Amino acid sequence: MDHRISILLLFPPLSAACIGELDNGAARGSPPEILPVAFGHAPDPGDGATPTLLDTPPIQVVTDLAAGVVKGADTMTPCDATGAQALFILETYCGSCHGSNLLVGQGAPAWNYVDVPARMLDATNRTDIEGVPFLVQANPKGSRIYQRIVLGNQKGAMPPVNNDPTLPVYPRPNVSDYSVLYEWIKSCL
Amino acid sequence: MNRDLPLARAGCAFFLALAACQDPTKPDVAAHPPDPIEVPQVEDCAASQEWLPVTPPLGTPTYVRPAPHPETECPFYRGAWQTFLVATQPDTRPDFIGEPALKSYAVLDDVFQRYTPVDNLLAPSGTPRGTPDRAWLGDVKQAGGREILLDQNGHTLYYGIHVNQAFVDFIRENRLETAKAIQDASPTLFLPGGLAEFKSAWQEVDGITDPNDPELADYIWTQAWVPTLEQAGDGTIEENRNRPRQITVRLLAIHAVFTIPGHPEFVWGSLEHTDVDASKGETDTKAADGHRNVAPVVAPDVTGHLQNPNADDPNNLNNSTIVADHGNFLVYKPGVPANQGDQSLAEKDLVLDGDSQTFRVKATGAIAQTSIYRMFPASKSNTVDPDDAISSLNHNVEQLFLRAQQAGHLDANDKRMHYRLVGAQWMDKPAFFTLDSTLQNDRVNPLLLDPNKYDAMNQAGERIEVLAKNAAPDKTDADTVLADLRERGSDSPFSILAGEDRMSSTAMESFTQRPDSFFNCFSCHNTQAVTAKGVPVSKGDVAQIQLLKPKLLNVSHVFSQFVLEECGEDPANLVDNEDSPGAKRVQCP
Repeated sequence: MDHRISILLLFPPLSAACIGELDNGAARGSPPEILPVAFGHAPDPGDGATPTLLDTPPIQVVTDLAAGVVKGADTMTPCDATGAQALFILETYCGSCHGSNLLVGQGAPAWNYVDVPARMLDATNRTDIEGVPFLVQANPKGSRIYQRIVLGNQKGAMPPVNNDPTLPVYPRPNVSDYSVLYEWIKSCL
Repeated sequence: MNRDLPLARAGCAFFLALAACQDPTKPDVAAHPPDPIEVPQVEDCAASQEWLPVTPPLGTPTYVRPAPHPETECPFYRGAWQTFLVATQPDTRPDFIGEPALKSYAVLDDVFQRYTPVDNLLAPSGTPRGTPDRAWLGDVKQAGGREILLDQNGHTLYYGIHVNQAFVDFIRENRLETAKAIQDASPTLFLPGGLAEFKSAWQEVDGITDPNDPELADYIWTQAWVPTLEQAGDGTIEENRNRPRQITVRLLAIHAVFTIPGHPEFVWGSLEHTDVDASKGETDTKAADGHRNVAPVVAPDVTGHLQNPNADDPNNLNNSTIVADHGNFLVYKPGVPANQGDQSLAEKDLVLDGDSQTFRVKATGAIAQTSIYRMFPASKSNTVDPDDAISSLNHNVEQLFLRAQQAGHLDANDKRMHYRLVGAQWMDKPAFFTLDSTLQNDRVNPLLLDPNKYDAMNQAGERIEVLAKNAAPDKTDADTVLADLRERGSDSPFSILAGEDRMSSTAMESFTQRPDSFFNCFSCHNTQAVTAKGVPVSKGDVAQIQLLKPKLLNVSHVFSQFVLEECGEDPANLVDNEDSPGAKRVQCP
């Protein structure tokens, strides 16, 4: 029995708007394929309220590279800052369907821990492709999360691309965001 | 950006020596870091004590993504300085003592595979580049207009392109080693953080090898294999990299360019030489301080004030003011007026002396020379006053070096103190780093096309305020945006760019500073298609021969330069351009 189906049936209001078209993982292990939108049509959160990564706590003055980054009394190590930025991106663009605040997330299999890196790193948590975990330490291109996000507007991308004008248009991360996620997975997990 | 920020001079932490546990009778043979150097900081952009004497690398994740406007731009400038310091660190390996680290970085020959392999001509990897069989400097025709800069001795400058190991790894990981692979690369493949590339400008110093000679003492210098120049019957200058000659060269200027997470468009830093002597109390924090001896800045107008080119005379063609009537500038001849400066000589009007490798004017027989000056004194479109963060940082680095020198911490070969940051450029709204984009505050700037749209992007509040304040029946929002961009330049909340939006190196982009030319880094380094002249299509005829299709990678000319060298000039490689009927494109075999 495919229990993924039963989960979707149990939570139809949550699933309808968020399920994207799944691909076969064609990009697994291949160079990142991304398709940013054309100039002049940059991603727009659309709802007028969604914060972007630019709203994260600012970091100003580097006084000691060894010690990290200092702003006022707050100190962050570079990976803390990159990690915060990466999680902010994931929460912004993926959290409404895969955030841990949801009882059950979306997807097949359904999942709801995009804000919990430890669970995404746990290879026993299945993704849509057997043997390809959500996150693989030091391997962005081998991480399912990264693979699907950088598909941009292509088939199988996450957030899902809806060509049907009656369906919601999801805000999409941009190339700058991709490079933050890339560095986070490569160096900070 | 000039803004009132609290001074960060207070609170600098210093390393404390831990001496309590040492045995006073035992010889101390352990390697110790030098004592900390106390540096008085001014303004808001600090230098780091750990930069000297040995600068730590700026690889990610050791450097974080700085915040955009309205936060300070200091971290970007610091990144540029640090990238420069790392690349020019004097080598301490016994066989290469004093050589700038950059000289051992990979060049195009090292990272790409040419149709005619040159592997057997190259120096061992990781050692200074160049051999008697292969030059490592060259490219005497400048990017943009392919014009030749001639110094006051009739020599060309020689240019180098180097990349760091992370860049090499990226090329190999993505299998981009051949011209065909570059052409076939995914248009959306982007450059991750941690990559650095350098373009450097070197001047020949005739026959001098004494490091104490005044011509070398204050410069980063080296012995370099440069191509032998040849002149064809039609006057065209060609360079033969496989018949190099070894000469002494000194570094005049350098672009230190790096990616960080969130900024795949590169942060473009640029530095140039200064003749300031800080030990005599002199200081050089900005180009207009009078110590930049590569080229002077434009002369003050009749009111005694520096001016950017104005709208009525954007190219200074009506400005007959002498830029400098005295001074020992390396690429400017005192007495030349502005309207005769920044102009190249046609190759057909030059005669190359093959033995001395110097040029003369064909018509007169005089030594050929071009006179270059800086058109935009602060490298900004809207002001002649430099960013406070740059001035502050230049001062702080100057002081850092001075103290380190006085404390005896510096290597005698360390000449890095004789360079200053001109400026840097990057995207303030990197969400607009997209494919086939000019990356400019131009007519297709998304914040001009729809200034109310991006209300979750940084400076949204400022944009709303400006639009509301200037709302009038006879005025469109676009009018307001354009006016604000003109007034505030890259500090405008409608600017997608940050930093110095009119920055050129006088030694490298000497002839393209004009507002109608390649006036900043992104005007040449963007994601549009690249023509067979090595420039974006937006700056040329769309029907020009296309070398590379639009790609995110096109921001780096490491790729386009290699493709250009390998197959850009062979008519046999031309095919119809399916994207532009009637036009041709280069298809590398």
